[in-house]
Amino acid sequence: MRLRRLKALALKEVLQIWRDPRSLVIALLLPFTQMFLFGYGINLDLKHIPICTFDREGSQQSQDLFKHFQASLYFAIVENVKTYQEMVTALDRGACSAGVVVQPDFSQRLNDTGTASVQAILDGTDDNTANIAWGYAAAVVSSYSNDVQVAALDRQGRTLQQIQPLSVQSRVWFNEDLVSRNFIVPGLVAVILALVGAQLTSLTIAREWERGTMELLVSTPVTSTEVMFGKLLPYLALGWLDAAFCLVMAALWFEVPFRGTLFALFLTTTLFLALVLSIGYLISVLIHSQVGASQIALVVTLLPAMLLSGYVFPIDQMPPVVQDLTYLMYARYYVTIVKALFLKGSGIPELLTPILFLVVYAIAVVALAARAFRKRLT
Amino acid sequence: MLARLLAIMIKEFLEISRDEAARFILVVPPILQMLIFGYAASFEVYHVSTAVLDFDHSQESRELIARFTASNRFDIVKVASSQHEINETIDGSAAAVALVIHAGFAELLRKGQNAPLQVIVDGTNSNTALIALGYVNTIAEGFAQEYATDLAQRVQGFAPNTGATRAAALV
Amino acid sequence: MNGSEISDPQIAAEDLVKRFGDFVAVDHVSFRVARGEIMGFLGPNGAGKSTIIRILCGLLRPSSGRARVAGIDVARDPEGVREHIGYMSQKFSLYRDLTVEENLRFFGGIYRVPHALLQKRIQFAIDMAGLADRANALVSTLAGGWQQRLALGCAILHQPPILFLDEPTSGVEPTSRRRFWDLIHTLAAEGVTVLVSTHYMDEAEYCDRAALINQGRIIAIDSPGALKNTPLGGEFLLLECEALGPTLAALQKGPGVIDASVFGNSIHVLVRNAEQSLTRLPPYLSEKGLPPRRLERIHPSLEDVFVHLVAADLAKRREAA
Repeated sequence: MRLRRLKALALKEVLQIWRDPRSLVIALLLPFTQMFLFGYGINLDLKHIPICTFDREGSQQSQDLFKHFQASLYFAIVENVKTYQEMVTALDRGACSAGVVVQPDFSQRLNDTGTASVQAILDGTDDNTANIAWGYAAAVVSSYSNDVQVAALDRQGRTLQQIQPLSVQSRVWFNEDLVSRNFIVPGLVAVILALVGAQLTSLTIAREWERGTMELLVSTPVTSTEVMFGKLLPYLALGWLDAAFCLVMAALWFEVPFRGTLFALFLTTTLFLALVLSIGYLISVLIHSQVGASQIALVVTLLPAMLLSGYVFPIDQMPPVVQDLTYLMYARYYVTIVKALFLKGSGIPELLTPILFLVVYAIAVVALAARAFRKRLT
Repeated sequence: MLARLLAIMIKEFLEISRDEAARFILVVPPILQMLIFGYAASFEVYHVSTAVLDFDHSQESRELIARFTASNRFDIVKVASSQHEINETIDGSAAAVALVIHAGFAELLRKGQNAPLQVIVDGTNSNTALIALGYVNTIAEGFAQEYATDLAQRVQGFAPNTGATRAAALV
Repeated sequence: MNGSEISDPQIAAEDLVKRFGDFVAVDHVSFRVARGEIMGFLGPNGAGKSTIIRILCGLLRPSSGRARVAGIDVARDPEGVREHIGYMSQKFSLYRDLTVEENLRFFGGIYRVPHALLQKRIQFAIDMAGLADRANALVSTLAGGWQQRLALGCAILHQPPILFLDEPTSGVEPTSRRRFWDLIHTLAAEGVTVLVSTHYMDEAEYCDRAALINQGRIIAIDSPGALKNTPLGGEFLLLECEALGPTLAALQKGPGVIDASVFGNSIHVLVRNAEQSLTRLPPYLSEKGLPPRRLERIHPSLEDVFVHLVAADLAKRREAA
């Protein structure tokens, strides 16, 4: 590897990038728009879940219960129905995601036996909302239950401690406010870099073949390693511009707390960028047409990165076979890393496993690309 | 115009049918992707990796923990022996949930007093965390209910005013 | 004269064969080129000229046979060859989105021309191409002839002893072609060995020796003068007339005519005896109502030689088959 040739190649690449507006648009505009679209678009936090109420008793207590639902930020009562049929219709229509039913003997049972039930009917088509709504509803009823108990105990001169056997004291670590944006946006940065990175370099070799400049280049003493690094280095700089932009936007605009060290962020991001750019380069080496290379780059990165990287859908909930597949999805390691850097403040020692995976992956891809790039025409 | 449209359509079909690459792309990737992504894209919460720290080692504490395992929602991946280990496990993402039962748990229960169950949840994925917390509460409530009823039956005639509970039906 | 007598050839090919699947692109080609010699490869498109050149540059691996360039075996050490050669590919392959100077500087860096020398070499290339006032222009804005001269400039920055030029003058207008050949001569005079391919037959005159290539085979290789004197089994007449088609048909059966073919607006007639045909053909044609406007003897051009040799070669192969 000769530094002189490397410099010549890198300088040429920089000039070409500078004079190609299409590359620059992909490089700079795309991440910007993606961050906005997905950062605001994907929000798993549920507030004001529309619910219907069905008060079959109409007593003071049932009204009280429903007031608790009304007061909750998580629910918005949109309809009070009079029959089960109406409730089912409302759920079918999508007017509400859940229904809360109080039976006719609610207050009677409460006063007599001390235990009464509240029925919740959930629309299971979106099981995520159903699950979360279920939890919230339980919390609301629990709060009502507490009030009832406290009132009863006041009358008896007792305290709550003596009655409730088990209390759950929960603490949430890392994303204390349980804001979905805090874990989606860092993952989004990873996905965007994976996509944009591959797109940037996927054209570079193919373009030279199509324009005929490659034939001249391979007739010179230049080695395939020099070509590879001469091309990747300028794109690394460009990729870093993107990464910096996305990360800053995540931290400052979306206000995702950043608890890690900048050094760890720099190291891991550089590693990931190198990998992603190499993958695009590999595609470019294998596919000599620009259009084909660009398409393959997109197909190979887009859906897998969004669905299999742990970006939104947690990997440990996938079937074991699919979980094994995700080991191939290189974005997953950086998704883990960047989430941990932001929310957990993890250091490099804790992140050794995903970092090592990235290193191995990068070495494999670079080796493949170097071998695949033949300096002969056939 | 319709005749021209038809002519073009026929030509396209012929070309596609003779293009091996096109035939492949139309069939294999969609099926593969539907299979893989169909299974991957899920918000369900099962087998949450859980760490347990039981300082009490009583029948009651073991019973409570057993309920978590039995629910299928939680998988015990680590039995810790110190708070430090718990912290490490959550920090290192080896577990997403930690249950901590302090010494004297059973005694508090038997005395009819309130016994705490400490739960630590990794909030990184807020969605799963929220759902997992919901399950934790449900399981804890179930345990509390049964214990209270059991206790009340043993202490004659005392019917605890435990308030409202909930039953749900998924539509 | 394939040059086997040259003792220290800069380029030497021995029984070179290149197959692409079933297609034989290069069919047992052997020749040698001496230092400072200009060797021309002549032949139609698809004859295999580019393929031979690519093999010699180490860009294609020969199916069999050997080739040595600057004493280096191209099959065994293709990388080693590249330091010693300059190459101009058939398709224009400089960077259109870079300026003249940026291209030169790039190739200067690729060939590691010493910094102290580089600026002088770049200036030399610019002057040679006549681009002194366009040094900062994007290559895409240059016309064909200028681009070709610039490509030549990029190929010689590192002063290689051997140059391979693959159809450098195709698509370039005649004055630019002349100018280009002047440059080649200047370089050859300084001792650079040049192998040039072209499909313009007249450009063979500019070469020291020329090889006629057809269907992957060298069917003749000699100095242009010797080639033009190739015995063709007859003498050539030039005929101008009104109706080319009918005249051509009539000539095929004409007295003493071996062959006749169209050349531009006229017909070249190969006859056994020129004197006899000069007297006997006009009345023969006038009888058919096709009186010739002009009929005279000409010295065969390279094209005539080529056409004849190709036909003869084809016949020989059919016999052998």
